[in-house]
Amino acid sequence: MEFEEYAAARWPVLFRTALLLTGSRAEAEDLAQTTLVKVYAGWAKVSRADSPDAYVRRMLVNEFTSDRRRGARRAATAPVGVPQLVPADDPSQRLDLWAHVLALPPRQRAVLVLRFYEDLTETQTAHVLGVAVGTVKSQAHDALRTLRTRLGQQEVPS
Amino acid sequence: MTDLHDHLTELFGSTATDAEIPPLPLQEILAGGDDLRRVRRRRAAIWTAAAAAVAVVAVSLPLALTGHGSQSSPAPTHHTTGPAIPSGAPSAAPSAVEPKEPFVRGTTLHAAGRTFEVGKRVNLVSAGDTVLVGHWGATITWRTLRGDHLVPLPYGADTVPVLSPRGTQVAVSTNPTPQTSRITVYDARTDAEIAHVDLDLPATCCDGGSVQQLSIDATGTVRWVEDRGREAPRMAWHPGSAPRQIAPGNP
Repeated sequence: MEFEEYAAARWPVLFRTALLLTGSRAEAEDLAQTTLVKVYAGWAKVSRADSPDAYVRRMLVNEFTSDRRRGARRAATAPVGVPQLVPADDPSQRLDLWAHVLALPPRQRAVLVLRFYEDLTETQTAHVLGVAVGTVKSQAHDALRTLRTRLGQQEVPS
Repeated sequence: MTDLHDHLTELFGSTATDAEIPPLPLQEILAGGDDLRRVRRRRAAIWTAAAAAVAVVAVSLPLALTGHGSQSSPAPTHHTTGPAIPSGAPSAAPSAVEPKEPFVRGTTLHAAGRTFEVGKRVNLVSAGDTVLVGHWGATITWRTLRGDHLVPLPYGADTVPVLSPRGTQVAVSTNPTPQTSRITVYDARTDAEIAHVDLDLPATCCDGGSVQQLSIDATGTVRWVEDRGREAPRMAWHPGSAPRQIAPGNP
């Protein structure tokens, strides 16, 4: 498969995942584009991977977490606009949840997106993030506990 | 909210599904990827040069200490042309590094404070005031920036030239016959040939052929690695003298 063909097919998927990671259309577009630039530069290697899609997803998430660590993207963009990203039904609860998800540290947010949107297992999530499974478990636990606390919920087993 | 997992799944799913997908910025991605490749190649070349310098020191130091610096394995057949040019440190002081290097964004070359439309699939080689632009088609052809114009280079087809650090000299590797490799040094300002050396080294596929890691330093000394099957000797040549092996090939 040529890169152009692959990029056209995967662009919507990458943009959606990037949108959930960043919470901003502009940042998501930038993140997905930056990832595909790197994919194109290393296309010979990427296309030979056992699963190019998994490889590219890992590049996307790593780009997000590393960029967040540098703080460059955060400093350069406006605050996240929550309302336009939230479904119309049951708006108050989802606004709260979405706002709290976006307030999580990048790695915790990435764990939630990979687990509950991409539907990856803890092992697969650990592989994408390049961390131990135990780290994924602890990051997910911390993230869910934070969300429950901020939403005023009672702690329930995850 | 009784089950946070379900709510997260629903929130993520609906947010992603409802999102309006922007158009794929393919041209920007391709241009950015080409730029990134160039940066990686340049970085790799720097590391290669650094490794070569370490290798030269590692090899020449024991030879100098034991007094066997002039002994080496039989040199391959070489035929050189051109005047004898003394090697050594250049007399002029190194010029200041330009604050802004030429670059290509999209299909536009930005160089010397001006812009030039160069089309897609271009390769950029630059140093000092010299800017070479390669155009990929069935093969690669080159133009150079002269004043306000990009003019065709009379050499370099189907190969990638390398520039000396100040951009005053160009070295290219070609294959005049299937059994011969040729390294030619040109004056980057006049395109005139300074010298060439023919090597008893058959052409092989692909980029660079049997002559690999070609470089030319500020004194005009050319260095390269010869692909000789199981051996890969590192060579050096200064126009006016014969090529010499400066590091052994791989076992």
